[in-house]
Amino acid sequence: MAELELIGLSKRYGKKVWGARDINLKVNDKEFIVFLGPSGCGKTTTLRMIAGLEEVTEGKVLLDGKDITYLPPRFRDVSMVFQSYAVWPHMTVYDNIAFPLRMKKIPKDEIDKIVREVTKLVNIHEYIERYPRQLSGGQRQRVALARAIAVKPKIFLMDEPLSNLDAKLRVRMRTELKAIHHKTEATTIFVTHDQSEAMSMADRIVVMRAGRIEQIGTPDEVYHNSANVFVAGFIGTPPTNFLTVELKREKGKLLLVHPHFKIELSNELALPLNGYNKDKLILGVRPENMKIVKKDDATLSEEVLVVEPQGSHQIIAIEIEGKIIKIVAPSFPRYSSGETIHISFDLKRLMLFDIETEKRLNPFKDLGLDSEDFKKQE
Amino acid sequence: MNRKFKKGVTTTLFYLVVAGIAIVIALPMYFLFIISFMSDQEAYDWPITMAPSFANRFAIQKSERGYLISVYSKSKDEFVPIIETKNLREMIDRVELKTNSTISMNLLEKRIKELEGKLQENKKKIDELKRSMKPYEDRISKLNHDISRTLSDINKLNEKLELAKNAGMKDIVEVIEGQLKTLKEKFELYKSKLEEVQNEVRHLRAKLVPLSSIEFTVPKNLFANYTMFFRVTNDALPALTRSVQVALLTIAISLSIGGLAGYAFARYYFKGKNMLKLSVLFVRMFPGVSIAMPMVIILARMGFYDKPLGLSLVYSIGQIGMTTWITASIFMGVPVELEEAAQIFGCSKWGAFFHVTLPLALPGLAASAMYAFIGSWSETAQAIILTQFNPTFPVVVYETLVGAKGLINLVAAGGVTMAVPAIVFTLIIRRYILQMWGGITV
Amino acid sequence: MGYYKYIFRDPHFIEAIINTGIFVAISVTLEFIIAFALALLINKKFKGAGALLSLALIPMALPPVAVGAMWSSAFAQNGWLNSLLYRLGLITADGKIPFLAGTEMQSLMLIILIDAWQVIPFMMVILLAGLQNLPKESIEAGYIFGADKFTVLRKITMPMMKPSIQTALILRIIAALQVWLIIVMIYGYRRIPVLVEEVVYYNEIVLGFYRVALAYSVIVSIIVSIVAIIYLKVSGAFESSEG
Repeated sequence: MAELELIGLSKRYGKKVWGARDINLKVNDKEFIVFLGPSGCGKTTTLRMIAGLEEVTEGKVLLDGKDITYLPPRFRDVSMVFQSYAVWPHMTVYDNIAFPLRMKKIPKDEIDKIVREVTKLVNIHEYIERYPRQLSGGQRQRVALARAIAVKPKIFLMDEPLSNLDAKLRVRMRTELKAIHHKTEATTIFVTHDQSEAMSMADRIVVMRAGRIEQIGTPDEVYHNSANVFVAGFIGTPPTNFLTVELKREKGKLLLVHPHFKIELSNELALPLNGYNKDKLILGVRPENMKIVKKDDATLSEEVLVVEPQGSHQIIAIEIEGKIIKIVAPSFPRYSSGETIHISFDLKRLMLFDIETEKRLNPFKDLGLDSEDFKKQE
Repeated sequence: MNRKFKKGVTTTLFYLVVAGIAIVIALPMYFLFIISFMSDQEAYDWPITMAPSFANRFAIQKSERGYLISVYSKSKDEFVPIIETKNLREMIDRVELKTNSTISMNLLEKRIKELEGKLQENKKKIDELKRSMKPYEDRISKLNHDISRTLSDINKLNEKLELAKNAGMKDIVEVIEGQLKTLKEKFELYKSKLEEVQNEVRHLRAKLVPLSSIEFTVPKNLFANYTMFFRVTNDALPALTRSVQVALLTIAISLSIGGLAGYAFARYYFKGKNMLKLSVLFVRMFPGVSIAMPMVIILARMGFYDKPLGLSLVYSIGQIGMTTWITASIFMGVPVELEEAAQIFGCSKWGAFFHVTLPLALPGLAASAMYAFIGSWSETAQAIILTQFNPTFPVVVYETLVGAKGLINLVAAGGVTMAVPAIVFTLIIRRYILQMWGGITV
Repeated sequence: MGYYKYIFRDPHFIEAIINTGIFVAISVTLEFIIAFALALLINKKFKGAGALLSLALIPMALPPVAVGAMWSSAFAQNGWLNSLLYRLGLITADGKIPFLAGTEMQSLMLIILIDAWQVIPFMMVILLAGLQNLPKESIEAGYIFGADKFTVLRKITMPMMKPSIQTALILRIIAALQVWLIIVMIYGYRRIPVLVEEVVYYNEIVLGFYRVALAYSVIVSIIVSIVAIIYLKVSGAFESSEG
């Protein structure tokens, strides 16, 4: 049972630079939360404020309702896995894991028991007497993990723990981390700049930019129902395509007009635009929400710029008004540069954003995930 | 609020500690610096002033043996006499030696003329004052006499008291103690009286001085100690040239050998590379003075003993390890790809080195040259042993310091002359010195 | 060989060995503690830390003769130190401290203080480099996992910067074994005999004793090498330098 609440948490460096600004978040028990954002967005700063390594400028950190804002780290009941692992080089694996337990004045035989338990859990029990310099990067990572698990913290903090591993190992550790989380059920906050890591592990993702929270939601929510241009663009590879279009009214119908195409909005899509009185907006279309169709059904016809085959699918890039637009299509038929293709948009999944505030204009009520297409096969 | 207050207090305390440390470091250097600008009179005054003066105030009086010139002491807040003479030339020389102020003959004669005029003018008043001072002076001598007599009486009684105590004669002890008490009271009385009279005399004299003396101010030659140092120690100037020679030679030798070795370390792989750091340590480890002893024989055989080249050879032994270490890290900082790129685009291997690597490494090389300079410039211990008739500058300063105590302001001037280039170069290459020990950033 | 016999019979030799030993033991310990504390302080990267570091580099750069001049002017009866204390009201005009008139032991302590003034910055720079090269996260991990400041310093920071501590200590021990110039500049020859001072004494002051000086310098070299090798062995510097 561990609930964490951040209220108006802010960090200011000097007089003007904000590391994090007005962070409000409630983390539920057993939840796996991921802070996601580009470097310098304040995610690590926020994590370090929770850990007590960074002094809080304003706001509060509540753990199980208790104010721990100004408590030194060692009284906070949190543990942490660092980006560089921070495994102490002068201690054996055993001592590394036992050190925090000794600090807690746990009896010797019990420490021994816990160390054996956790090393088995993370699969390093064979290396228990070795020094970190005799271990590989992945193994050190596991030691750091074991050390963090051993103290049975209320909150488990991870600061980009996978970013120093090679690509293959990273993907494997992802799965293992998630499995460990299932076993330990510790409330976890995980910081990363890798959106695919965030998508694959999180219960909820907190997307951050320039010290502020942009959106909080489940991976599906932030992907399909992005709250603004930044989130839509940051999450997903290839990223969402954005086009500036004009909004026109013709015979009572709403039209999105672009020099290269025209889209008539259904009533459903038009409804959220009722109060919108600017004559331009930003249209966002995810690459997989564009389909290559017959000429007659096409919204848009363009020449192919390049094709990037990916094996399972291919990415087709076209250029509209100097902007590269990417489309995800099945591997076959294979297109080639110079060829003209005809494209239609999945109208139900168009994302419309305010031209100035870049905020979402048409948040979906439901993600449409319970539609027939997404039902599990019995 | 409470938190903020606490934080303010800790920050203040923290900065107080920092300021304390800064003062401990800076204060001795400050005093060395100011003493080097002080005249003999200032340097041996008590207590020493906290800053050197830029001019001296003199007072000149007529006396039985000619004229008495005195200089104003800031510490004592009164004029202290320098010399009493009829010979004006002698007076000027003495004043210059003592106060670093040169009074021109012209000025002195003019002031003396003024003094004579003044004395004539105030003759009556002066005589009157002198007359009124006479009885006081008599009283002072009488009081002094009384005081010394009482004091000896007290001492005698004290001895008796000791004897009586040892013998255990209680009643006698009591009597003596009573006598002692009255004597001591008497003593105190005399003393206070003496003070009173002395005050009176001082008062009168204060009236007398403006009537019978002329005051004038002459600027002080701030750098007198520096010129004096070179004049007094006739070795100093050639020693300074020799020091520079030795330093330049050391740079040339250690940089050409150490630089090449450094480049090799940076660019090529070979066995024992890791021993470099340890070998630098070993060279540093070797006792400099002990190594100098056999060097005397070796250099003498080679004919380099007591010559700048010989000294710089010995210095280079100590420097090469360090230079290799520094230059290696500098060359490592120039990516080998840059050199390779130059070769791809038509440079020869040497061309690539001269056109690409060297210009990029130049600031670093300059820094290591300065480092070598500081090392050889400051070195004293080996130089004392390895030179005989041709000492380097630090040896001259050392000899002045050890040999002729009592010229502290001159020695200070020599010390500052030594210190300034070393400090300047150190601050210029501050970044590299910090880097050398592992890249410190603040 | 006769020269060595002469040396071993010389009472000054024993005195010199004892003095050198005391000097090394006390000065290295004292300097290490203060230098480490200073390094921790500057590593806080407060405003003005850069300026303080620059200032601290200056004593390190000062030529020995300048340091000698500085302190002999300080410790004179009417020197600046007494003047300063007097102006601060810490002593009276009659209570001038006779710095140079103490016993041999007191004089040695005074020399240790002077030496510390000049050498601490050098040690501090090495230790500071060691501190700054420590991975920050390793220290933070200590705080996260329940250690207080002192425990982190003792159990994590110090063991992790062992190489820097070793370098600093060994360079200092070796330099301290060879102290002499500052002693001679403040006190003159033979007031506080130390090993290297004897070398110079026999070479420069007593004429015709060149061989004795040479023998002394051999002894000093041997002692320095033995101490250095013992230290390197004990602290395991040989192994770590291979890695």
